[in-house]
Amino acid sequence: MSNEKQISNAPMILGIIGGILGLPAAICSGACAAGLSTLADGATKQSTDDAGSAFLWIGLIAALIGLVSAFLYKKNPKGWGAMMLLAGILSGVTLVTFNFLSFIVCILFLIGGVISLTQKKPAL
Amino acid sequence: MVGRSPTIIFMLRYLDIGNNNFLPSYNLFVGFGIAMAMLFLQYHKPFKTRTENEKHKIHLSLIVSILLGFIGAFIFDAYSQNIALTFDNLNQIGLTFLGGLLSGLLVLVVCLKLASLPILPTLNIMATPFCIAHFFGRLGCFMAGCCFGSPTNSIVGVTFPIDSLPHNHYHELIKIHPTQLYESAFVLCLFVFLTKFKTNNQFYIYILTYSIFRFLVEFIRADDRGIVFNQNTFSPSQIISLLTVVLITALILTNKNFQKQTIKL
Repeated sequence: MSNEKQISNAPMILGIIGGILGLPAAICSGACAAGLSTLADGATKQSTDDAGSAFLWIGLIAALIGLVSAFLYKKNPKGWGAMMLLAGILSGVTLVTFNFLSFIVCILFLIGGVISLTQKKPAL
Repeated sequence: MVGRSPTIIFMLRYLDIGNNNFLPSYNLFVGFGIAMAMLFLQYHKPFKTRTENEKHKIHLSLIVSILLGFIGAFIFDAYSQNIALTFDNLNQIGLTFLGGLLSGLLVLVVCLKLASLPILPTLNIMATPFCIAHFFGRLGCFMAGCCFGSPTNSIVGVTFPIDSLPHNHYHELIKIHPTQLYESAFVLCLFVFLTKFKTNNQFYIYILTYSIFRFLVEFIRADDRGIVFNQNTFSPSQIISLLTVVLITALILTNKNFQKQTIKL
């Protein structure tokens, strides 16, 4: 029986599901940020649009990094695991908009990133 | 009255996870489908026998083609619905599966060529994983209520609940063809066929049979799929399906190796 240890597929699955859920999460974050910023003192249309766009893009970039990391982490588990953690942190930033979907995406990326970082690449 | 029924079927556009928090079913199913397809690919014998470098190149090609496929699906939907591609219109534009599949495939072929990988053998490896992702994607469509069919009195007819997309279209509770489930069932049968019978041209079989099936199922679709080439006879997906059948048939006829390959039982 072979003792060769395979790299886990868990980060790939978590990253893909997180990345696909990250797309609506980013849109929700943008909408929530725009909505919340209207409550601020001296809010203008420009400021609410800017807040919405900023959180939308942060969410989209996080989803994109997470998705790419999920597909490529097997080549370099440490490097792409760190990128998945970064995606988790970026999703975590959008949590200030009280968007629960971002919380799920953040958790998926963080778990995936941690598992990926603890992987040892098997010797060929 | 055709298809009138008080029955409400199970359909959840958003999964309630408590405290007024929801998960979008469509995205969840699509994500799960792609994840399962990738997982299947890792244990797929023809893929496992590839070198680590080739596997990495295939993964890289897949992620690029998936991302650009999503963009292709988005642009094709905007074109067929005649919606201008502006930032303000983003929430009005959806995704067209065939547009995404074909643009993604085109990008995949280019990526495989750039990576110096054999195109057809690599696409053959991916035919069964495609079926898995496709199967879950259409289940996601059913949960979201999009891509619905025309009214029917048959036993397979289903009624979507109030405020669903079919209800908003027909303005009444009415039994309609669950075209999403037809497609899921078809792809599932195709998956079983491709895994049970070891055919050598799996990709051709997948794309050809799906195009024919899609062309036929479009006749019982009732959702707004837009217009291309200023005509109402065929839907955009039917035109794409026809072009795909012609293209694949031409490729098969010009491929001399194809006739030598047999189905292994």
